[in-house]
Amino acid sequence: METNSVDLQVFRQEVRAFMEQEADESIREAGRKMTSFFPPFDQCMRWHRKLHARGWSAASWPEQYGGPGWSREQKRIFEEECRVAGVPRLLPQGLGMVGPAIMKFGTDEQKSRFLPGIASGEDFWAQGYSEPNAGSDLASLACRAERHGDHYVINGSKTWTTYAHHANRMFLLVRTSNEGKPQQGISFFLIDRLDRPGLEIRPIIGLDGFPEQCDVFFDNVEVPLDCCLGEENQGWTVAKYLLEHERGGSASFAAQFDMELNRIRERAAELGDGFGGVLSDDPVFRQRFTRLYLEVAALDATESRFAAMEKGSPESGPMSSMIKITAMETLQRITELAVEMEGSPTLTLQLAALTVGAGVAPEGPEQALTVMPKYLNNRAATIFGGSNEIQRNIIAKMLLG
Amino acid sequence: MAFLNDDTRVMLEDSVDKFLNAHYDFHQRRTWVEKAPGYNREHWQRFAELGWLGLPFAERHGGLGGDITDTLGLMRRFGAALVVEPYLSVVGLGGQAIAQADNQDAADSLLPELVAGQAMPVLAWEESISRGNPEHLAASARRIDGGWRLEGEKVAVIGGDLATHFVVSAQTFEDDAGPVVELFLLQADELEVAGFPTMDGHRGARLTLAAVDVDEARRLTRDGHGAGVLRQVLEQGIMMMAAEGVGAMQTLLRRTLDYTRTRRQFGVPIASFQVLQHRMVDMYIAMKNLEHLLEATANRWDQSPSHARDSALLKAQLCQSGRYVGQQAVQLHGGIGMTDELDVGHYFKRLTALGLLFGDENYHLKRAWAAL
Repeated sequence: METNSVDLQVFRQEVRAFMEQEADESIREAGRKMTSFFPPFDQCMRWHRKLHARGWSAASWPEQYGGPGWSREQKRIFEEECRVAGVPRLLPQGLGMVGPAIMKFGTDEQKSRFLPGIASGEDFWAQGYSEPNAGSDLASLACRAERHGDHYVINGSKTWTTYAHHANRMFLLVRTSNEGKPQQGISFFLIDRLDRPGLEIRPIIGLDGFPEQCDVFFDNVEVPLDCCLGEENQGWTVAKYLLEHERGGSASFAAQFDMELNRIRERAAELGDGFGGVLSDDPVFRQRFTRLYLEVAALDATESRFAAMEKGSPESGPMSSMIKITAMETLQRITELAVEMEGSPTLTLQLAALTVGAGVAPEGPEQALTVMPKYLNNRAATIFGGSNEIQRNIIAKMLLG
Repeated sequence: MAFLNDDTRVMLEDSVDKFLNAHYDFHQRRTWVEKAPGYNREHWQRFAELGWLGLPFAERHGGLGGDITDTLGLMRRFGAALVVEPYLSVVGLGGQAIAQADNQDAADSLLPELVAGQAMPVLAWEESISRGNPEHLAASARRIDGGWRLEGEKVAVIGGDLATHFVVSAQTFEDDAGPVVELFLLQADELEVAGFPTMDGHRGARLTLAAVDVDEARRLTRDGHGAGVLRQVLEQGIMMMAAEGVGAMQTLLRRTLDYTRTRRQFGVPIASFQVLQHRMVDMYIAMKNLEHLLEATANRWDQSPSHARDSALLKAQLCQSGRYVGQQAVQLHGGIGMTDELDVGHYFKRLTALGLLFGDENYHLKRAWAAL
């Protein structure tokens, strides 16, 4: 259903009014202090629940599962207004990843049991894919589940599990069979509680000094047989579907990078060039900046093309790989430019000032506070979600057969 | 050419190797970094006893009479072991500024204390407007009865959190021809020091000089000589940083080669993938470029009338090589390279800091152009 342009204006006003009223200072602070793909947890989930109360948390979900039933235009406007208001992006593990997978592969019981909690923000799901010895080569995963009577017993470990220390639920890939190709013996599990005996979660401190990822250890952890999403040993199919949803279904990188570039451009007009002029008049800075602007324009064009493409068509996989490669490398170059622009004040380690709600003022310019953590954290952008080397392999396979 | 004879230098570098092998461990480094004063005081005393603190200072000050190129072997080893003690800040910058300035009395009283491991003077030149340029500053020194009144703010003062003294640059307005830069010596308790840890495990500070009055004896330079001393000290500092950078890159490359040889994915060590082999070759080339450029620069150091071009090129190369080697070491380690637990990320962060300090690549390429 397409709405006419008058309605869209009204809709925009409505969204804007909601943001003004409901996005309180601590939620906006969380938006400002985002230094990776994952916003500060508590404020992000509080914002999620506020959106849910208005019926807007699951913007891309079908109405039958709690989606608002928006047109593509409305979704775009909503995203734009979120960016303008500076609110944190909602965490993708539930809404963007396991939620759609449950809709596609889940039983009615699984749908009614799990989807409402994802939409409402009452539950937070951690994603258990990578293992210490299964990263780029995910299919070689070794965390195993064996049937014992009316339950499975899980042994092994998962790593790079974002925010597992905040999660109450977890979806994970486990090996349930050693027969056939490695992909064939994998199952997709939904774990409804993380306080099960034998399950241990240990946060990992990152380069920026904060815990974001976790190790998760399973020592004879018992889970019921109905935790399997889709059929046993068919988990790879679910994972592949989810991966496509993750890459294709995400909000526009270009629009987000455009905002970052705007901020950089404004800031460069305030900063000196070290010779009495301003940085934004420096021809070298202008070239570097404009080159990045060009990269974002090209990315935007590719993203539009991708959005219009039929999901599951032969080119959509390689094109999502292309978006991942270019977007993440552009992002890294943007963070690099920001570090050079702010200069040596970015060297100050400011754990307290970066903590939302701590009330600690930053040392040095406020604009420099998040610049270094963003640079450091986004080094992971070309590693996670299939490293850029792996994405290039995918495109090479398409080109060369 | 170096001033120390080869035997002395080999002996000294041997002693650095022995010490670092026996006492410098990454996991212990973490405990030194996390609590005050942010480095190991006992190490500093050992540095003094072993003669390292006196390396580039005159014998009459208790030093070994070497020059700055004599410190490069030590700095490379410090880089390889990720040493956090403030050798660059105190010996390379603060101490060298005092040694090269015009105030003999100040040098005679403070440098022996530095060499003995007691005094820790650091250099405070950078301001929020500097962007690498030591002669673009706002701090001022105005004559008052019997001395000077200093006002201004200094940022990113490396080692500033643990200094006993500061060598502060300021503009004076004596001459109708316009302001000139002079250096002044201040004690740490005479000004406001806002100290902080830095992301590379070192320490830094912001200094506020709100009408700090000092007597004439604390002026280190005269006739606008401060700018020249600053330039020279920063140019030397860039050489020391480049040496530290080479050491850090050597360790990172070795770690990356080792890791990719043992890490298996798709049934084979990932070092067997050609794309990663080429990446590591490029890391090697980046490192060697810096190493060779440093060597060539050091070899002609004492014959060159000006170091402007050489040091600018060296710093730009340090920025480029450090960035590439650091970023790719993390990339090839994958997720584990992103953790605080593994030393790889800490080397990457140190290289990032070395790239940002004393002017970025853009600044130094401009400086090099001006000196062609």
